[in-house]
Amino acid sequence: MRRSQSVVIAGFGASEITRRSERGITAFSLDAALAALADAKVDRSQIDGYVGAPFSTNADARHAEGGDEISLKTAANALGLKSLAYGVDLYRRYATDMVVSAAHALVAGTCRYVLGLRALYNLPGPPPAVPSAAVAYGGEQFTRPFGYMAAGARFATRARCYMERHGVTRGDLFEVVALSRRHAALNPSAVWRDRPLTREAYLEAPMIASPHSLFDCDMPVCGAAAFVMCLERDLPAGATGAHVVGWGGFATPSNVFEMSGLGRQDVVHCQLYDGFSSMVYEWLETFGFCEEGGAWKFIRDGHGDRDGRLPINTFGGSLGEGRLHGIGHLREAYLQVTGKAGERQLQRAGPALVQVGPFDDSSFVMLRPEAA
Amino acid sequence: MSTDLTWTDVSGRATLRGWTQIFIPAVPGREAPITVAECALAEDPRSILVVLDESGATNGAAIGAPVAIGFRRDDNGWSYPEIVKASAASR
Repeated sequence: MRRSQSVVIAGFGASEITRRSERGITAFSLDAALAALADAKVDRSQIDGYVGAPFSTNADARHAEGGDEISLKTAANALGLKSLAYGVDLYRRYATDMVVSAAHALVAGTCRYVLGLRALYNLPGPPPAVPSAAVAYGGEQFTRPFGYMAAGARFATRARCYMERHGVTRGDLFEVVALSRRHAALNPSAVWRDRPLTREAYLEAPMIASPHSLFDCDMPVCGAAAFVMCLERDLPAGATGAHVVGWGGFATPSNVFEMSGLGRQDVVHCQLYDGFSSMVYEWLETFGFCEEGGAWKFIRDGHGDRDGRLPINTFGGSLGEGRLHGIGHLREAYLQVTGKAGERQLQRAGPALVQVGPFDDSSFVMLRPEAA
Repeated sequence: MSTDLTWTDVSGRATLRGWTQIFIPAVPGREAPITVAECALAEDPRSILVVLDESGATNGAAIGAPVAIGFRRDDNGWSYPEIVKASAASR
């Protein structure tokens, strides 16, 4: 697969990120979308495409429109988007898939400026990791009776297996969480920004689904982020574009390298999905950034730090920033690649690899400051 | 790939692929903690059964330990797979 035309993310915006709020998901969404439009120097009247991925990831999600999810129709109405040539909500997909769908609409010529929006909302009520309904429908019939989708159980079983096979301890797993907290300290939006975590406090934290304790799980939050994409030739004056040079879907991960014409040795930082701490290991090993079974040492030895060989989750990841389900990872890659990361700006801006989703359901985007 | 599918009985023998003990109330009507296990069927290890382990036998067991799976019928007539025994190794 080759790119026929150069596609850019022209701007990014985000709302505040907070654990609870009196404001609704639409307000957070508007904050993010208007900030993205301003950053991209695009007027909302120019937006003719929209991609969303409204899905509350909480185990006990109400999936309520305008409650913990916001759809294309509500967002377009609230934003006054009157000239959408194409709009779509992706079903249970990720920020990285939103980029690909926006690119398709641009390259096909259907749209000139596509808005992407992802919003999460932590509704009041029972703990969001705990399913309260006694009845399950659809695919959940086969997982909910066993608690498999609660508390990240299916990632915990995998982490257990990894740790046993490679001799990893909870103390080693702490290194991922500590890395997130260090990086979150430089992210003004992060929910854990001024909350350093000692090894002792980590090891004493209540267990959620062993071997994951409270601090191995990302914090449910209210927050939204949005971006504007266009072809390079349509990038507005004054906007800074990050070139989308490659992508890969869950069945073809390596396509992100083949399409971009880059190898893993070219990647200078990566933003890896970390809904649970042990997830950070997955793609470091699968893509060969370190040896199989060696990701925990890679993190422990500082290679993922800002001055390390491959800075990882330089905004603090979901573990440091809060559960934005991967749009935070995409935003960080954009900010770094365009030199807008402020206090946490890395010297080498790109190429940047973004991965969002579980080990068996990830999608990928490669961003860089320049076209291929 | 074939569409010529038939029902077949399997032995219930499996190996433990992973387990977790969940300390928050993850299944309505059951008190925490509960143990959830992933088991790979002996007849085809690509077939993974996720089960509740109310016996507690897998909690602390080594990955790869042999387990046996049976079925439990609840008050509504639904059947659920469960661990009926597991190796006592590596407790």
